[in-house]
Amino acid sequence: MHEFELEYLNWMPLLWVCIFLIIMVLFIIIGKIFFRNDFDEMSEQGLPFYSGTSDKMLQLITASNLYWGFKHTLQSYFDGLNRLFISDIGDFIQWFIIIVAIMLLIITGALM
Amino acid sequence: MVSFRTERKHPPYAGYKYMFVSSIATSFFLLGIAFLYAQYGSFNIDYLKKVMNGTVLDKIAIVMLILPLAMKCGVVPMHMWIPDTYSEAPAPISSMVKLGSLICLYGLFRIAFTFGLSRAQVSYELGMLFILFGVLSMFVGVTQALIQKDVKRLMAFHAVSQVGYMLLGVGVGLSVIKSGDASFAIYGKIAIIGGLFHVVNNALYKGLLFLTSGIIVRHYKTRDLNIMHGLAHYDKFTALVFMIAALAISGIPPLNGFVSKLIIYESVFHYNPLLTLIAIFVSVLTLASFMKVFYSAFLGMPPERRPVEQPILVKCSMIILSIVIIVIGLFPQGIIKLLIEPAVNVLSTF
Repeated sequence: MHEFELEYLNWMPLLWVCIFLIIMVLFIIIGKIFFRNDFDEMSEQGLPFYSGTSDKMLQLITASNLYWGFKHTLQSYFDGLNRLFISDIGDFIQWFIIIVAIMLLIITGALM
Repeated sequence: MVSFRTERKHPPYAGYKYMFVSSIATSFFLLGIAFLYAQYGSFNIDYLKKVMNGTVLDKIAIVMLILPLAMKCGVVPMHMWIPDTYSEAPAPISSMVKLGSLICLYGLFRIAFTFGLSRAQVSYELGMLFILFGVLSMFVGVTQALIQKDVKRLMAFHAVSQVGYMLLGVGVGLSVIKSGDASFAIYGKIAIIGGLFHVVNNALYKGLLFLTSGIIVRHYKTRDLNIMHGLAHYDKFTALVFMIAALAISGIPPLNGFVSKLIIYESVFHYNPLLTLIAIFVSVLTLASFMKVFYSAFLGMPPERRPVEQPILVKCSMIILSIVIIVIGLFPQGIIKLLIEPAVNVLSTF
């Protein structure tokens, strides 16, 4: 039996964590030296900027707004899925029978 | 337990559906056992493997044994009970049902390897079917999850998607196990290790996700992501724990999900690079949908009221799961050598 070689994994997490920490430290040092230090979170600078409306609830981008383009582009795909899987028990049995038939055809070699 | 909240409209229906689906699955499973017993007069798997002749009735029995287990794992296209059940059950029960599904997955692999490698000689066909079901589950699960606005349904669809990774890894190993060339030694066994390792990892981060989703739903008293905003202002602990679980399921290093996914990517790439490409694309979509949950539930304007402080036991369980997720991500060798590799050796011995 072939021995599984873990080296195959090519995953050296401690090295990556060290690299990440070094980059973080460098970033903080560079930030302290070169970044502006007049930011005050407690002042108006810390408040979010909303444009277009003063209504707080309208300012909120909700979950349905996210990936709108993705949903819109693939609308026909999602409509198809909704037609195929209506989450009804009858629909469930129908799919079960279809898969039984397909598996039997493949496993028994009836398609060969 | 699924219909625990009987005062609401949907949980009893979800419980009834789960019961119905389980009954159908169990009936078919018993039918498969009956076919084998009628022929060989034994229930012993090891004995059956030795005496199986590869008759048509044997193959029908194998289908009858495998399909109910696949149904219980939520493999597409038999997955629609999963979002209904997981979303209506209380959060701890969802974790337990998920664990039950993962145990069925091990049963599925056990049956497939044992009888697939017997004289029935159907390991290649079963491997190809696993790959097909795996890719379907990954893609359909994640695309359905991405458009959900119900936080628990979203997580349930991800449960379907993650089962796809496991089936893909194990399917690749199963399809090359009898090929006679060096494919199994080069990547087949590693693919199975990846698939089984993903089962363990999935149990950990999925459990954590269901627990955090329970806290989110408890605070907002709704599962609608559109209504949620800004919980991280008051509950940074839950936000951090959710982030760890979300990054783990998305396969971001250095967490445990990354390691098992990396093993699956690398081994499946040898078999067919297109499958790896699909798996990576699904991971990207997984990250996108969890970013949506994190943004909706934790970021934005602070909520109108402060959340209730979580009991210390709930926090402890979430801390333990988070630590295990990180430790397995950093030191995967131990668990692979101690748990996964012996299991793969047992499965693939013929």
